Amino acid sequence: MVEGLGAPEGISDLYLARGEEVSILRPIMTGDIFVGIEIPGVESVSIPEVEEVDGDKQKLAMIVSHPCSMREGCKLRPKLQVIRVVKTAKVIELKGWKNNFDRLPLPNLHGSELNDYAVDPSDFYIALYDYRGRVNSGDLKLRGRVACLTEEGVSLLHQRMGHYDTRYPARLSDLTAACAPPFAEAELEQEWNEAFVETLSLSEDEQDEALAREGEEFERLLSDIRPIPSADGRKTVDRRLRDDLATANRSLNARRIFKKLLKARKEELTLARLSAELTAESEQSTHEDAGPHTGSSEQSVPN
Amino acid sequence: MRLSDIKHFSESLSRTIISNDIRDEMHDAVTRISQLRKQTAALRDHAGLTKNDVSKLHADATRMHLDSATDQKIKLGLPALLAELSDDYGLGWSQIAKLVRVSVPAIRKWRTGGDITTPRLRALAQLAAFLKLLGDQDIADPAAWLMNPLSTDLDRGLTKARLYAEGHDVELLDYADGFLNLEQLMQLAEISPAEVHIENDLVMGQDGFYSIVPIGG
Repeated sequence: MVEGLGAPEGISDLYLARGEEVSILRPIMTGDIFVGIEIPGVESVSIPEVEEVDGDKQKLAMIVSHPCSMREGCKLRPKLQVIRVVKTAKVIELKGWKNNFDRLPLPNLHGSELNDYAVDPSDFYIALYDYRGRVNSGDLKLRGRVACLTEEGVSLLHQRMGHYDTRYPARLSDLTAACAPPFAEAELEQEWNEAFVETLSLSEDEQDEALAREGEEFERLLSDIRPIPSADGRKTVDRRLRDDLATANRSLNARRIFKKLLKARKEELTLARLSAELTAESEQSTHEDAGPHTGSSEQSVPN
Repeated sequence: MRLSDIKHFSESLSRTIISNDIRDEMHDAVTRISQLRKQTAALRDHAGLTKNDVSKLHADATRMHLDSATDQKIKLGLPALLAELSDDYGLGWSQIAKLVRVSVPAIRKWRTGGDITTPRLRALAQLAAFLKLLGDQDIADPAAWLMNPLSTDLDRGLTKARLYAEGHDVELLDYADGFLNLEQLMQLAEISPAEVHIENDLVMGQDGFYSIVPIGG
């Protein structure tokens, strides 16, 4: 038993989203689990309690690359490290997290919960540190994502992985603090996408295009040097929003500025749409005055 | 009997009388000091009880203040409360979720028009009210104050936000007000300083991301 190894207080502390909660609008992050992923060099899992329930058939894989080293700008690196996730008949209760070093328990992975502390044996999975490899990031499809871990979940993942590899359990609060900036960015990017990417009326390809476009827009927003007002608003300093987001005593101010920029862009797009509608109406009435209607000149503007 | 004997007897008698007087006076003094000690002990106990009573009264008053501010905030309704916490204070959705002890998906559901139970709405309103009271106590950026670690000497995971989520809201207001010091706050929250002593620092690496390094290493 290793006292330094942590455990979640409740099962829901592990997951940011599971099943239907998973949104394509959240950028891919460490701890995300995908279905149908072949991992080069990783053979099928030969562990009796896994074989007993045919636990490897879904080909689940979890990203373990650190959030700080999985992207170049707004794009994922071509290859990411993943580990195999399997269903198992051997349930690990929350108190068992101080043992079972070679795995990360994933209780109630698909969201079945008797309560936050009760493990459903029919929905119990593990991520296996020994079954690790690199996959093409292009193979990790947003629509194949089945769960996302919270920051605490990722810290537990890395604490156990670090302990398994080196026998040293790093402090969870240190791991969480080191990951905080990219997690803050991911949360803001999701909010940006929720504001500007239409998911209901677009096809999957159009959604992917819109996500790529808004990803670049978001990246510009964070990396452009801009005059950033201080928390008390008395002075401004030319800085990148990303740097402020990564600095503990400036991060909330950076979030407030982000919200204002998001709101401003929303208003800008609404104005553009209204202006386009007015122009179209005006052109239509001109056509009607001039003679029979010959076609629409309405522009396509994001709603 | 000679005159010198009489003189000697007289002097001896005087010394005895004086000695007896001194002893009696000293005995009286010790008795009086003992009584004084008992009286001051009673006063001390009384003052201690009064201090405890006043502290409890103050805590009750703070709780009532927070509750009435919460009642005001509830009237804003869910969308305005979420906007205040997120847009005005700059709190992230996952931070709000931790502070009011719900899941992030629950917050997302509320943001998109989903139903919220009365206790959950009250928890959000109470967070907004708590931040307002902090602002009234001249804390320039109440949300940043809440999210920061208690002390640079302590584990960075030990934030005021953690204590808030564990239900120490009134104690935190007293701490912000200077009524409690760090040691008293930690005692009330049952946190041992030895358990949470900071071990590592975060240092920005060459790649622009943080590395964890031992302090003094």
